[in-house]
Amino acid sequence: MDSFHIIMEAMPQLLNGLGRTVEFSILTIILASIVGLIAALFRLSRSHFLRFISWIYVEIFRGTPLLVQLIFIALGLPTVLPLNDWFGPTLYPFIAAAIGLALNEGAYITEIIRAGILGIDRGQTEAAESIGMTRFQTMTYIVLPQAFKRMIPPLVNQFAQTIKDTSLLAPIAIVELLYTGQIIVAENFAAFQIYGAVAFLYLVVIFILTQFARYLERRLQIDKR
Amino acid sequence: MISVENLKKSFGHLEVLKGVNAVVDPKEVVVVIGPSGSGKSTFLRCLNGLETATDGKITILGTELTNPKVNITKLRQKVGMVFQRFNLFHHYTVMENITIGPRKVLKMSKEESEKIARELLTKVGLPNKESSYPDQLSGGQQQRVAIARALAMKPEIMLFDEPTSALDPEMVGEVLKTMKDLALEGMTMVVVTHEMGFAREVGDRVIFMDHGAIVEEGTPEQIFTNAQEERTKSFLSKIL
Repeated sequence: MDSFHIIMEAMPQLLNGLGRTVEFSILTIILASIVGLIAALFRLSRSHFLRFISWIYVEIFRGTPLLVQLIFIALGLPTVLPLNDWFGPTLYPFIAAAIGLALNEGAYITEIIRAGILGIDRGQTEAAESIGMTRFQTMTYIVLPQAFKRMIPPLVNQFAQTIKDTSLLAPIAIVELLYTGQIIVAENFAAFQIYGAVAFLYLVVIFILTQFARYLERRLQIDKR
Repeated sequence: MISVENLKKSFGHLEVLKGVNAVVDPKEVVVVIGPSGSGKSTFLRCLNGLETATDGKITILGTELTNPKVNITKLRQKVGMVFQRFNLFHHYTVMENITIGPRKVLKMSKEESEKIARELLTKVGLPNKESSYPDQLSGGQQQRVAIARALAMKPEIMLFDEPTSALDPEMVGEVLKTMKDLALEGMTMVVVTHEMGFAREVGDRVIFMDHGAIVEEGTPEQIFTNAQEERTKSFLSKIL
């Protein structure tokens, strides 16, 4: 059988794995963005306590490898907490995977959002406050919309990284794209073809993401700031 | 309307304001002049809480701004501010820049706030710029939009922080005219500026500041033609 047929035969299964990869990517991107926004606002708040919480969070999740975090949450925590009983032994690995990814990517997104907010001219905040806006209104209507535009390139970068990072779910037995490939290779030994196809599929997904981001950036250029 | 008692402000070890006392009466136009670094902008910024006083007492419209329990946000609705660098919201159109305050802070309807905005745009001489973005306007036009934005909140006091210093010379006139019109309508104004012509013509009172303190104050006539203090004379001789 030639390479083309080997890949085509494995394709339905690979696409199934790809579906799981995309699901985890989307879920992680949403959760990590929420976590990142909250942690960034904590980091910029006036409360020492909230700033400290945010700082510790970022340092821990940026300072340890994602694979270690995933294994710790998926396999380490259940040895001291009855997590598998609470969520069921089939569901818990998925929850662990989602939480692990979201917290890790969230730490990087925290820094991206924080930098984006700090990049907005102080005069914008002062002008908003001078017309009587609260800090919350200033953030919501004035600072974040402008900061968001500047955050798009680094965020897209991070989202592409997130998609690739879901491949680290394979070692904790989540059947995503890479793990699917490993299962197929265990049967047909066509490592070159299958892992090549796996890599290609990641490339396609990330290419779609970056093209969408390009389109978005062009759309949002209206006032060129 | 505004009363300032022994206002002190330090940035770290640098004491920028060393005990300023001042009173502004209703409908009065007070012009603050002085060399750069004299503390005049800091003084103005303290008046709407953009800078927090280190010591002293500021009372605005009967509310003590320097009391930490006072709701500054509420008070700021009554005190408009115009900045040297305009600080228009880049991501909003001219119309949105003017209406966002009334809509979000005063909870005014879209229709009502736009009606007010159109009146104000006509008043500042920019009736057909409502759908432009700030970056499409000249400096002078942006500053007039900024004045309209502040006026949309129906403030009782307007503060101007060197409103013409960032403008090309040919645009200074249009902004000063807008400010003069406002003064003639009876707005209470505190203006930090280097425009001595404006101070002379529109100001009811001129305050000369240097090294974080008020050196001399009086009518424009007194300050410009009959200054008593040596420092005032020397400053005026350099710029007039």
